[in-house]
Amino acid sequence: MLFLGAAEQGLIYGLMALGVYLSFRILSFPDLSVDGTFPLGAAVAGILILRGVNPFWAALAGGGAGLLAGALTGVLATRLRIPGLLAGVLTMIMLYSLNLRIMGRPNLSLLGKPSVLSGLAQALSLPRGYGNLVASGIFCLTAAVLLLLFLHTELGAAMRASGQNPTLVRTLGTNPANLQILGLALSNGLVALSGGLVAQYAGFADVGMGVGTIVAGLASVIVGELLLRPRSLLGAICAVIVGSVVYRLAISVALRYGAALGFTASDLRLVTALVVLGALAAPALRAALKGEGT
Amino acid sequence: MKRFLIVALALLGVFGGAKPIVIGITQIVDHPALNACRDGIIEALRRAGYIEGQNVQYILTNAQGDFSVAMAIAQDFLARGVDLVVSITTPSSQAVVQVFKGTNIPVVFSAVTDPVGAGLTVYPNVTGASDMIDVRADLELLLKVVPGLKRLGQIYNPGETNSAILTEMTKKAAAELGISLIVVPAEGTAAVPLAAQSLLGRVDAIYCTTDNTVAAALDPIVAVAKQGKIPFLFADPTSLERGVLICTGFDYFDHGLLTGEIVLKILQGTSPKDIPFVRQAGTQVWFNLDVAEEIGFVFSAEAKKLATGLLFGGQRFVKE
Amino acid sequence: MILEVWNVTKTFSLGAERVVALDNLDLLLAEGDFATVIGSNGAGKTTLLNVIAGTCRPDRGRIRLAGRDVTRWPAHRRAHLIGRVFQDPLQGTASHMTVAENLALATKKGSRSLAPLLTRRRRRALSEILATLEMGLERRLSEKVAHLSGGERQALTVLMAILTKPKLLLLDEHTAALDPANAEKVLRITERLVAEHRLTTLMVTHRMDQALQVGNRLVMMHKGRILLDLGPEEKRALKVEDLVGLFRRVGVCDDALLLGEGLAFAGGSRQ
Repeated sequence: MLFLGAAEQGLIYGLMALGVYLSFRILSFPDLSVDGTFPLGAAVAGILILRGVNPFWAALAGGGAGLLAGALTGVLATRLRIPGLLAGVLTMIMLYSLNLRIMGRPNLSLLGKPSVLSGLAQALSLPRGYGNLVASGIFCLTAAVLLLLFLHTELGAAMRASGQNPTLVRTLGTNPANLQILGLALSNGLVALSGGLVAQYAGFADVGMGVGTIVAGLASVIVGELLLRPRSLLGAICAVIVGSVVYRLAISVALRYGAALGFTASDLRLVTALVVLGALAAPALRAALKGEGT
Repeated sequence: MKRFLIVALALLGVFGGAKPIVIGITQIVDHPALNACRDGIIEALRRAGYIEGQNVQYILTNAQGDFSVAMAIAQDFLARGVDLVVSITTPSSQAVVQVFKGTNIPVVFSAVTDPVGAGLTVYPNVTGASDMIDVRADLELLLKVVPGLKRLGQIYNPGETNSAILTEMTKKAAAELGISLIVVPAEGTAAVPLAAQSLLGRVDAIYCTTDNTVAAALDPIVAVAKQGKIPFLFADPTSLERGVLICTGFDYFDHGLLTGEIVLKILQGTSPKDIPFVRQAGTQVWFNLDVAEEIGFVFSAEAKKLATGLLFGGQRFVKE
Repeated sequence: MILEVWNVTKTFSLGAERVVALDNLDLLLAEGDFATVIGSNGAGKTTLLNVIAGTCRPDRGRIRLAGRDVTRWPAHRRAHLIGRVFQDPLQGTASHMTVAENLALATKKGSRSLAPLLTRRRRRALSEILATLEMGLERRLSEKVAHLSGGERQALTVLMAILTKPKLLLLDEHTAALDPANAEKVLRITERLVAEHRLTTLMVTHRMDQALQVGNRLVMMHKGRILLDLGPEEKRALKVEDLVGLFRRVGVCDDALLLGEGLAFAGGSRQ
């Protein structure tokens, strides 16, 4: 399959997209710290794998580090009353230095080192060439199912309510600030786990590999919504994964055929940004076209 | 079998009329030094008779700083069935090797400072050129040229892999040579002016390696060096005209030529596993006499003997 | 005493001006009391509710609920004892969630567990509870609240507010944004639920007829003070004209209030 790689990437990065969906759509919190938590997961997983830790636990540890970082952003935003965007940026900046410290250098090579993806593929005796795909799929779908189940619990439902109507949640006796902190922790846990898996997939962890994570995440979420127009939570979560795969497919298509049309990979980033911009501005544009006020 | 095909194709290609060799070239960002490197590779092949469109076809890509795109490029090359991959810079090389390890397709890396540390050297189909500069030689040069040199300052971006490695080497070499070293980090071009300022009055000379951030924000460092009348050594010979007192190192175009030589060897039949990776040799040493006059610095006659070239009156003069 | 408000003062500074929203106010509600609160704009009615609920801290004074001093308690903690319905139908529910989910959230106050929100048993129980509203909402459990009308949402909000049998129910002009038919319906539902569960209630209203119709006590506020605090007999004896006269005497020129109209949201009522 020509676009096998894109599907694999779509699934592994799908975990990150689920995290962005949780913060951006459920919590209504634009969380920029993901640009820092993604490489945090890669850094922690990478350094642990080099120390001989089982790659599965290494990846989970990366996710755990992301949980803490997300909680930090949450605390900054709620207890210290720092505006959400700024709180995320602060965490991201702090993580840049922290990631360098964790790795000891800007780049860690994991080439030839054990990877949970190939390990899982082996354990399941998967046919060569499809190992990564199925392994990524298992991780992504497990995370998606767990997230869906969580959002249907009392706690998850309160979190969903809080993202849209914190006053209601307060009236029901729960502190929306705590829900936001928990939500951001979970969101960044997913993103960091994605980073830990990508590091194993790509064969290296680099301090710069988080740049553009939020854009890719938003693009995945929005493309998925545009394609599937989900009306239920289940639909929304499926849409996120579909969006992530489609996004990576679009990159591959642009790489393969774009040159003929004059596109380069750099143009793709512009196009992606425009898609995200368009989708975000669509409600306002629609209203303006109809002649309504804002 | 594949190697045989490549040789056959190469020979056919050189004599024209057959299916062209497809070479995928990937780099992590669009950057003058990396572009010069790429141009050098293509030029080296052109000089050997490989003409674009006739017997060779290049797929030129760059990941625009996005590591996932670097992976996608590598996967695209594999899916397209390229005959050979050239990867410029460490992250692009790592992505390519991750995809191409275990295949027969040759991978040639370029502009990777520490190929061993990057894990690239253990695969039989991978070889390439390292752009590691001789840091110790630079420091020894400084000791000879700057009388009484005791304290040295260095600015670098800790986020750049190549640069971080070279700074570690600088620390080691400085310790061995008895020079006290002050290292100032600058995480982006905006941080460079302040970093440079902080060295004023604390150092006898400034030494910067092939750091992309420094290269992009060279002017503030040049200004500070001139202001403090401090000798400034920068490991990029193309920057001489920008006011640097001493330039060592090599032109990335030459590094590309060197890489191209390796590609040619492979196209002519040598297996990559028989080609150990090479380090760029032939370091140039340039003295900028105009700047020297400006800051009142004197190159002794002894020192001048060490130069391979001089800048005087705005013109470059190369020693025979 | 369910509610004790002692000596509460609250001042807001709006730029250079300082507005005294509550001026040394005392109020006591015994268990089972249903007090309506009426007053012109700026009288401090909403501020009073906010101070009791905890979304606003008084400069001075104490609040006690069911015998406990809650002055220092944050709003979400007081919410264990309080049910609240706002004027804006959008504020009382999460519109992107279903009727069942909203109601299920309201069955519990305080910390949330990882137990599933909507079990089959809970859905059945919620369906029965919704049926008592007689609005047909029990057949629309899986619909998003955004698809309900304002009246239906407000009825749902009232139901959600009383589900945990709060010690005190706060209603902040909760029918003011509804059209007359729905306002009437929601008021009837409110009365029925309050009587059924014997809830102590404080209801702010802009309509004098409503203020007199409902409840056993009347509180009239003006400029942060309580002018009138009537018990059951005095309230029964009072008529709308008397109230209008009282307002005129203290110099209230609030046309909407005096003419007995609702506020200018979704269609006020015209007598």
